[in-house]
Amino acid sequence: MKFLVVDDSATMRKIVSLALTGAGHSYAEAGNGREALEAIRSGKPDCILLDINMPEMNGIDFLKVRSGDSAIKSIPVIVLTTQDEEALRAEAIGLGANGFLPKPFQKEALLDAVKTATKL
Amino acid sequence: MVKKFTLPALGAVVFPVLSAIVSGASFGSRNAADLAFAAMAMASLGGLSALVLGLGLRAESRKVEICEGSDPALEAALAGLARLRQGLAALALAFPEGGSCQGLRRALEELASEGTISQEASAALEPFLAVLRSDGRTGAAEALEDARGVLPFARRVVAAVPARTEEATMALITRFEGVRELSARAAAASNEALAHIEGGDSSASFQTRAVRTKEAIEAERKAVSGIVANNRENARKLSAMSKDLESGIQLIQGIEEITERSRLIAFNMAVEAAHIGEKGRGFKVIVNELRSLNDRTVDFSRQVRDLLGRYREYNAALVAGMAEHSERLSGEVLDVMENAGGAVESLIESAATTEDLSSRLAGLVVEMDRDLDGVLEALQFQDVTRQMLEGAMSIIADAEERLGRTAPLLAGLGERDPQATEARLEAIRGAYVARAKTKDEKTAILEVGP
Repeated sequence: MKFLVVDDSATMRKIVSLALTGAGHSYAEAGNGREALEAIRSGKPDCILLDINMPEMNGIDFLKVRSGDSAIKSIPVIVLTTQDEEALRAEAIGLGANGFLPKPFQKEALLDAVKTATKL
Repeated sequence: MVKKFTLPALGAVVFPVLSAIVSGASFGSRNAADLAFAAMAMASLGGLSALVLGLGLRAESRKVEICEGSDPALEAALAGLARLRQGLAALALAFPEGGSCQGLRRALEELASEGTISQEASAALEPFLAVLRSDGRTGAAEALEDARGVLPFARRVVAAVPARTEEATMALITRFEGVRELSARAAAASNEALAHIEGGDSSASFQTRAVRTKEAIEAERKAVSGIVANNRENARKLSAMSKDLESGIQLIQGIEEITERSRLIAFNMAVEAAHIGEKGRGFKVIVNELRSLNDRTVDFSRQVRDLLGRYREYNAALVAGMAEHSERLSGEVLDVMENAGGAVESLIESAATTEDLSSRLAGLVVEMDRDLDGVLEALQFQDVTRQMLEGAMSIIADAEERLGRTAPLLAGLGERDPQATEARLEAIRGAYVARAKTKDEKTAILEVGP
């Protein structure tokens, strides 16, 4: 599977990508929601791993754009965030996110969330 | 000429006296030593507040005019008044006869003995109060300038932390990738050797493969040793950064002290504004601004301190997590590797230990992967803490912006000497640099421009 890892932290993108490649997946990176939209245009991923607090376009705004765009609406999205708040979880799920994982997370929890969201 | 002492008159005299004492002790006016001593004497008044004094005097007046019988509350209030008078008398003694605070001494003596104050004593007090008004203005201006000068130091120290944690984390992850690759290579070499042994191969080519396996394990062992050393170094760096943060918290506390000074000044100025009546109206606007600024600064300081405090906890968890996994890597995993290396040594001479080697290597790879994943999980705290520090920096930036709006307020507090301000801020910077616990913290403070 091909993933798009969207996070403004280079460390987090690296950590997530190591978990993905270790499980045999490939990935592309984006530093914020706007970059993610550009990356999707050049190659549609099978799943998006999305941070919330990012500059330029944050995760919530990205989900709003996604919900109104039929071309990317079908791509599963898992939110990875430091804000483990019920209201945020409800908002993200309400906007169509397929999973919500608070940081820090274990590699197994990430791969399980991927499995559930992509129905592998 | 003696006028009857009333509650408003009490407010007009006692509050300025109280504020003069506090103000003098705080700002080091020319009578600072006298006033500081007087403040100590004032503290000896115990639980007597000005309110009790007012109530007591009213009660005394009522007793004379209305109450003939004994009322316990009235008696208590009168006893309080008597104690206050004793306190005022003691306070008056704090100012030497013929000293620079004669006006104040006389006013206190009259208050203690008569419960009244003469116009003459009030006039003698006026120069003293004029100094106070001037000191109050200067103090307020300095407090604002200091607060504006200190915030950039705090921002710089806090801002320096995330970049350094990011650097350390990426270095660790790079090493981690190297170890994982070597681990896979060692496992593959081992499996290849095993397949040949199981196929009954005892040729020279097998011997060569076995030697390669041993070399691969040795390379991996060195890499793991490297990551353990790197982990320890990172833990040490993170501990140093914790000290930087501690300094950030102290800087914030410095701001709180300034706020406390400013609060005191606002109180003094409010009293003065009331005292000078109509003329104090413009003064009151400044006082209200100062109070509002104080409230916002206190609120801001609390938020930043909470954030930095929480950061410190996360940082400690990160250091503990890295230390735990490092110890496991350096302990169990390196032991297994050592043994595996030894087993391959034997393997070169005999195939007897083949199965044992195979299972050990398989276990080793699993163990090491688990521990390295644990390190990676711990490293996610870097992102958590980075975001918290960004929050702290945004609050500091907001406070700087709010303080920047006080420029007109400073103009209202009189002519300022930019060189004196710069010298004071330089002294503050020097004190922070002297107290800095790490080289990085010193650098961060020194990097803040004038």
